[in-house]
Amino acid sequence: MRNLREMLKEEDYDGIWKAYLGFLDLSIDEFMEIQERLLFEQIDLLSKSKLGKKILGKHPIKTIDEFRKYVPLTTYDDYADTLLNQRSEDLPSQPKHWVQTTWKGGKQPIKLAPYSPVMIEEHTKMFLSSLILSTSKKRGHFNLRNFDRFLYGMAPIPYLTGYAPYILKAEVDFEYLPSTDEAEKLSFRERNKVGFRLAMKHGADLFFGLSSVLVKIGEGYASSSNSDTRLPVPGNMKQAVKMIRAWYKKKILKQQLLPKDLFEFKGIVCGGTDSDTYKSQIEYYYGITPLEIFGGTESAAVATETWSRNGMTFFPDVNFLEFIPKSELNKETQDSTYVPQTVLFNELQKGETYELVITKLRGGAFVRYRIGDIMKCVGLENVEDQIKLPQVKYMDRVHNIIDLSGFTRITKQVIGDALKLEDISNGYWTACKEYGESSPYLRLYIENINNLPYEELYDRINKKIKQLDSDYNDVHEMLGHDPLKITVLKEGSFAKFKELNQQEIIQINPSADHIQKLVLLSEGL
Amino acid sequence: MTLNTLTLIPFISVILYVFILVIIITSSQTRLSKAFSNYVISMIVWSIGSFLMKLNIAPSPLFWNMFVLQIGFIMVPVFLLQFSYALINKTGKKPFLRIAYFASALLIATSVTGNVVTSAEVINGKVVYELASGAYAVAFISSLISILAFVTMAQAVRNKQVSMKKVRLVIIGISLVIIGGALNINVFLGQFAIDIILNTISAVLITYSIYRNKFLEINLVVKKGLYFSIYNISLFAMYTAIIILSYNFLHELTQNIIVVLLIMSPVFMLLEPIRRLLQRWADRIFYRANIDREVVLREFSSIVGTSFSLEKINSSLLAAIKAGMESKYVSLLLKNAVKYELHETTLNQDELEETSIYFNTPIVQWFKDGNEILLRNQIDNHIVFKKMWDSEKQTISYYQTELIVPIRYLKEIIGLVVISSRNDGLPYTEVEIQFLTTLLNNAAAIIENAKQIEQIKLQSITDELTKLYNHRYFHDTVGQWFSDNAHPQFGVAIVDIDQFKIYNDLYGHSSGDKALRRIAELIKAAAPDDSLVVRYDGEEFAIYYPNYGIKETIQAINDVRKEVERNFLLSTEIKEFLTVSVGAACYPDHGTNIPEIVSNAFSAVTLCKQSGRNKAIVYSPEDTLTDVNHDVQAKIKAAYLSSTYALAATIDAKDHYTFGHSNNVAELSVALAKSANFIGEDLETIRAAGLLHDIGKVGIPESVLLKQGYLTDQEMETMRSHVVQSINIIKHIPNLVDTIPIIISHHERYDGFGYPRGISGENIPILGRVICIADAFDAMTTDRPYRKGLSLEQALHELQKNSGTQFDPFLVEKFIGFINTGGLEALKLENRPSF
Repeated sequence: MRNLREMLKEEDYDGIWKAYLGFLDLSIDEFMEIQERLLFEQIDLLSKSKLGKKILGKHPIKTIDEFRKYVPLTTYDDYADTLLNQRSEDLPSQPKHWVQTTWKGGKQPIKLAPYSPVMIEEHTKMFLSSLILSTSKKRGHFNLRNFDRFLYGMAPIPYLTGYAPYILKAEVDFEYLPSTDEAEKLSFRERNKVGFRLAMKHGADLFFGLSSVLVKIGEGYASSSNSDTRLPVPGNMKQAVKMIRAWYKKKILKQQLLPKDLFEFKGIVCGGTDSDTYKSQIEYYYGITPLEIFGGTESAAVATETWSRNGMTFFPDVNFLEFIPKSELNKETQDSTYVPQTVLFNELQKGETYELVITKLRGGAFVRYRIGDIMKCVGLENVEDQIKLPQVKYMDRVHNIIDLSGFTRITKQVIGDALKLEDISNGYWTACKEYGESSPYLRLYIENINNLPYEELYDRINKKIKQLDSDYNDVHEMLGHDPLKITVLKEGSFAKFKELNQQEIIQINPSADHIQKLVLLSEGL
Repeated sequence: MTLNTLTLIPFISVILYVFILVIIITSSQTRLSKAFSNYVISMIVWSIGSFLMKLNIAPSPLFWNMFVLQIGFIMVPVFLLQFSYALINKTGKKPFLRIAYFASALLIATSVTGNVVTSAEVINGKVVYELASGAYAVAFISSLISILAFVTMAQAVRNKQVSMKKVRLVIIGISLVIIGGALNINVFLGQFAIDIILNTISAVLITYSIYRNKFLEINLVVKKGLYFSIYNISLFAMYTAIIILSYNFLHELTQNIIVVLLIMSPVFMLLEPIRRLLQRWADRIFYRANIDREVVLREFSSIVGTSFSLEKINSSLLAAIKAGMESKYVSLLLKNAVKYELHETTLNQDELEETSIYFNTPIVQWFKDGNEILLRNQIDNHIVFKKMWDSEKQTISYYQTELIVPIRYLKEIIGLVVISSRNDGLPYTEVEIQFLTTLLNNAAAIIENAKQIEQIKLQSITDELTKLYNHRYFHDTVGQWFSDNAHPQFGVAIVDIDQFKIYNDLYGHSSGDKALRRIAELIKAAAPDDSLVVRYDGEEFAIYYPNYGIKETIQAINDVRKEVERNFLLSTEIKEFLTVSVGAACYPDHGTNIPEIVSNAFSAVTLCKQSGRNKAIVYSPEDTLTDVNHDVQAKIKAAYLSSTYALAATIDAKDHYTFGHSNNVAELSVALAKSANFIGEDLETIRAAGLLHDIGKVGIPESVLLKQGYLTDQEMETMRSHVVQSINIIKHIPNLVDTIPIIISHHERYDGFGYPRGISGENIPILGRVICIADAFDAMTTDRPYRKGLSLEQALHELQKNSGTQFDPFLVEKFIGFINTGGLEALKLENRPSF
């Protein structure tokens, strides 16, 4: 098979579009046909493996309905023993890489996910699809090319995003900023810093990273607070002209300098949970709307935005897709023994919210696996982009986790431990995620039993969470702002709430209604 | 103005170059075509300069030389370098090209300031010029750049970036340019325009190379135009030359024009073969070896026209495709009931686990949707093929697929031809695809015909039920092997299924057939790959073990026996009781010919049967069944029976009221059977069946077995299961298997409402119907805790009443007759106080 490099050399742009983005022309029936056929390949592979047999159970599975009826929904706990011990022989296909991610709130600090060569190939192809789309303004057109300069701001190996530059080397000639060899020696923060310096010197065409990082860097240029925004010696004429213009704008016109004065990205691909929040800021700073890609360690690439940046389209051949509707999730919240029912991709309803359930195709390990992501179906097609497939938007992590800018996932345990260790809580607290104008926050409601001054209370809690969760610390380090906000409630507020509502308030992400009630109760005390 | 041969050279090259330029600019616009058109334009400039200079037209030859010729001359190597970079797909920075551009700008400046050529005049039709020192710089630098282009290409070939085959003409072309440029330094040679001749040849070579190797997608109209132009120009030149030469020659001999024309007329006849020759050359250049393909087609037709052998047709087809398409590998897959199966391939690698293409693959769907051809590129990139399984992709890779074409016959896709890339790695042309389609259209009906003949042949030597070869094939093949002395030693085994008739009677013929098929599969799986397994007759199979001695044969037949035992007798499925007796004989130890060996194998089978079945024995002349053996066998049988009867008695003993029931049922059944004219072995069998009919009750919990009063539905279910449980016990006892059909039927009712199978009337084995009456009679006449046993009259009345519904009316009549004649008194009944 010709790879992207060769197709670009041959200027076979139509061929590239067909190969990488042909799925955008699928009808819903064609999409489901691919899903079904590949699911049965996966069931066939699973039924020959120890792990698969365990999960599939004894019932022979001949239809999708039987699959949904007899195979239980799973979580990482169901795989932990096999995967964390890297028992390759029990898997449906031989892994080439074991990709790692953190397991917040899990039994172990990390999760591992196996990737076979075929899965890697598929994932690479999907990632390239997103990259091509990020440089596209309309169907069939894009300007991604060999030797594009690629500012790669994602986590390193053994995280999933870390593998991409190495895998892509076989597919296309990108010039990485900094080079992969150099990047290996640098920390995540340094890499981004060096990358942007090089981008300023030589120019950059593509960016893939966390949207929060892009915004933070953008803010740095705008406020001139960042020493990294000093102009380097330009590496070529184009950058020299840009720098002269930037210098003129900043020094002579005394206007605010924005990253778009220095960079001219062809495409920006963003991942991370709060991409939607940051989108408009990125557009302001960089003059280009980022393209959101959705994926994860267990699922690989799942969906991508298209050129209108209005809703994501699922890849048809990476995961078999099921969705748990909100109503079913509510039933589960009320009764933990309730087994929620799923709907299929062709049964999505516009405006509905769902939790995503995936079965990894192509010999993957995860079956009917709850990744823990909530999505909203924003339409059954994308009229603007003429895509006849349901479109989704990423909402958030499942409600028992607070995800901050894609950096960290705060659990009940972390907050509980922090409060306990500092000995400043009577055990009554609740926390939720709040969306500020430019970034998300963690809002903690607490009774100040020791009557500590607010600053001390804030500092002690903030410091403790930083100690307990290094990723939370990174939010401070990388984005330079404290995402914690504390509301102190009068003592007895939680007890009163319980008395009135016959139940305690949920500690992570209670409903807005409950929070309002709690605050009003506190005020009334 | 001077017009002579030397002037014509640049003129002809201008025309040729313009022609080439048209081809290039009407082709697809790529980096390569752009680079090449730059090169051609600079050649045009050079040639026009040279032409105008030689024409000696105003303002002056020096002017044309300085301002036109030199500019073209200087730029040619630079664009040649650019072209060579484009051809090898060099990307990234190209510093040498930048330097070359810079140097050429300097050289042009040197030239137009009069530092290259100081004077140029046309004297006697020849250009005479004087060079200044700058000329050496031009020659040196231009040669340097040309050499660089040459080296670039040579390196790319050495590094295997491009194949030598593809660029050899380009390399020759560049060499000619270098030589031509170097010759210009010599003022004498320079006047003959050798450089322009060489450059023109070079451009023709490069153009041909571009065309032949498909560096550019040349526009079809231009392609046809090119074909006709070259063909017609050559034809015209050839005609004119022949006519003028022959005319001149004849004209010298005679002045009479009529005579000349008359003598020349045969010359005109000669022109036709010449025209054909020319056309063949033109075809060769533009459509590769077209003529060869016609020969291939004809040869294929003649071979397959005289053959009905599918194998021969297949191999001829592959050979024809391979020759006509110049493909590396060709594979042919033909349709069977579930898939397209590999029949013939020119691949020489290890076979993959799965080489078939199944009906439900997207590939087959693609052709069903009416597509005529499938390219590898489409499989890789077309969205339809996203749903392909990885195993299917591996199959495609296994065949090194470049192209798949269906073989259609009457709208049905009867096969698929999978073709790898061409030997030279170039893409297939339209003409080649057309050839393939024609070939396959011709082949379709022939293949289908041969397939059907093959099918009929196969049917005549195959057993339809088990799909194994049959008796006839066994004797034909083994006989042939024997006469060919193919195997110096071998073993022949006969596998006979034990008690198969009983199995058939019991479960019906459809279950019997299923069991036969299953056993055939087991035998086939247990036998080595190079052995021959056939269904010899009815429930007999034969196995031929090539090169096996006695020791290996014993091992092999034991494996077969064990495999059947494991899957039937020892399986968890209660009702399976089949075993096999396997007898074998070996050559040369046990006979000198096939009939003798087979006959001795049968003797061994008989020995197995006589010594208790489920045995595997290799024939031995001494090992016949003696009286002593008979005695031993009888004792073993007696021991088995007595222990089993003891077991049956314990069941009766569990309940005071049923004590002696089994014995009584046995006695009564034998008596009734005798009344119904049964004799000999049948009486023995029914006695055993009577004694054992309730043996399955050992597995029934006492809480149910001894429960007084009504049983719940579930308890009733448990109670009834004793019939099936009985079989599970009896099937393990040799020589009692024939009681199974009787025992399993003793609760069936004549009207079909009994259990476990609910069969009715004559479908119930008659001895089963006998036991049914005996069992009911004994039960009715026995005292129970809640009622006293019926009197003889009452019992007979009950039998009479249920005759035709529960009981066989014929047997009821016989039984009543037996009782009424006082037969009961002679019987040794136990524990029956009621009469």
